[in-house]
Amino acid sequence: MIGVIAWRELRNLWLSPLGWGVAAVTQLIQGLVFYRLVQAYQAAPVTEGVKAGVSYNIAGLFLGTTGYLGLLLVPLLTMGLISGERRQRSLTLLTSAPVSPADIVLGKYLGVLGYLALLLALLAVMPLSLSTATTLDLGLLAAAWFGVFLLLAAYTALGLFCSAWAARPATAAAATVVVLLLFWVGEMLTGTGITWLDAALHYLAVFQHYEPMLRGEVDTADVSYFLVFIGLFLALAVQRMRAEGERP
Amino acid sequence: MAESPLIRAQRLSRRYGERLAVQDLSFELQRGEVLGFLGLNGAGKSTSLNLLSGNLRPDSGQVWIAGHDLARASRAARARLGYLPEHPPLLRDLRVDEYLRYAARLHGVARTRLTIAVDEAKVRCGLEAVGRQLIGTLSKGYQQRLGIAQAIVHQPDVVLLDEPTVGLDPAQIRDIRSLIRELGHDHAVMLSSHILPEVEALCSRVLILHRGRVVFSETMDSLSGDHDTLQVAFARPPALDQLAALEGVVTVEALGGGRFRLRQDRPVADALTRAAVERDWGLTELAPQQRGLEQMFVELTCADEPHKEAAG
Repeated sequence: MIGVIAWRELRNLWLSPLGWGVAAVTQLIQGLVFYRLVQAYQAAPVTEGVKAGVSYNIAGLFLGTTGYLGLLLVPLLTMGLISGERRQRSLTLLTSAPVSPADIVLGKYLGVLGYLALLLALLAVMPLSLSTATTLDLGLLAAAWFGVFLLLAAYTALGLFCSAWAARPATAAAATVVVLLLFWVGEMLTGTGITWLDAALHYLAVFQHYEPMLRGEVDTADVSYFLVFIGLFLALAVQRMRAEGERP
Repeated sequence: MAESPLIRAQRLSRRYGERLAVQDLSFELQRGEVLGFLGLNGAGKSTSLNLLSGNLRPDSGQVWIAGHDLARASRAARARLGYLPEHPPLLRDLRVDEYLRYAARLHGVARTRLTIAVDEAKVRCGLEAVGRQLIGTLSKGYQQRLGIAQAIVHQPDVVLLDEPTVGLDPAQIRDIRSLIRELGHDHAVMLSSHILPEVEALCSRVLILHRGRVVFSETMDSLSGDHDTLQVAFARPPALDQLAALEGVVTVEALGGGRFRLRQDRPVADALTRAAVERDWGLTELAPQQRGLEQMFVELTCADEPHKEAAG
């Protein structure tokens, strides 16, 4: 059943102007970023006969941009997932069917994840094209790709959770952006002097766990951070869907 | 009646805050029955159907669908259930075929049977011509039909229809009614309506809900056997006692404009027409009245303002 719902959600994005719009905007912006990065790299000085690594300075930074772009684009993709259906009154199709709240949440989640994987696969073509001219550190590239994917997957889980709670899609999108920003800027609040609070803020900050992967370092602690993040918000979304039967 | 009931509801209650939406709803429904849920707007019809379809949790009480507890064996119960809610749960951006395939898959129709199931549902609901059309561009009538199609595409044992003919034109209403009658043969069908003739024409049993309580539950046969009232009209109406003197007439009630309602304890139509001709009353209308549903409905639902049982 999860597969049926996921496939439907993926098809929906495929059929909607939103899905194509997000893909087009991403490609356009990322294309410009890529061009700028290549330009900057060419202009960069050669120090002691060694030029800084092309893999990180172009591919890593390129994929890093996607993390910022996702802050705005993922909420657009997730906002309608549940609240949109609730508003259209089509959610009853799912809630009357022999599927569990977890099936609904996971199905919708995996559908969007499938879309994001396709989007990221297309983006990967740009840095990979450099391999015609130079030797790339494919390990670093894979790590960075994986990092961005995890990051967007975390955004999606949060977005889905907001969509499950919000009465209307716009509220869901706004809530998602606000909470995501908190995870990004939380780090700035450190320096309170309270050791455990600083440590907690530092740990919670998304950037801490994401940036090393762009440099090719995949740490299980960082991966776990994202998995816990995803698991938590999906569980909360399921919880909300369970309560669907409580209200009129 | 060897088979266990397809729907069994036991003392279902649900309140919204202070307001009691449904109280102590209990009934059973067998295969081959069509049950009509009648009530004024706000009587609790939609709430009841939401409770029975598992879309709303009852505060107390239980529902079994084909023997499966809707709360505990939710998946098995829902798989046997088709539900058309008050607002058809349509996905406006999909084509009719896509939507029905999705609905069928969600309800566990095997991939190999998908095309057959969808085609059959389309034929039954008269949707053959619009398979490629986007749902958002369909007329209200077609959307309603599609709502019914999604409820029956997986051949459920139990079909719940919340006001299935709302928004349809007379021809469509006729089609949908014959569809419901057909469904009634091998499913258990339950429909809500506030249209009395609809329930009279379709249902084998009727439940009248009023302020969340069942105030009447009877089979249609027991009602229609009740041909004890005649409505007559005359161009030159006679005096009341002349009518009352006819053999078989129990009471006469003048309705104004030359119209009368006669209660009979044996058929008086023959004697009445003869008398009307002989005495030149100018009979213009003679209609047996199914004292029944309408009267019952009005008596039960409109008479009891101010209402006694407090919600608390």
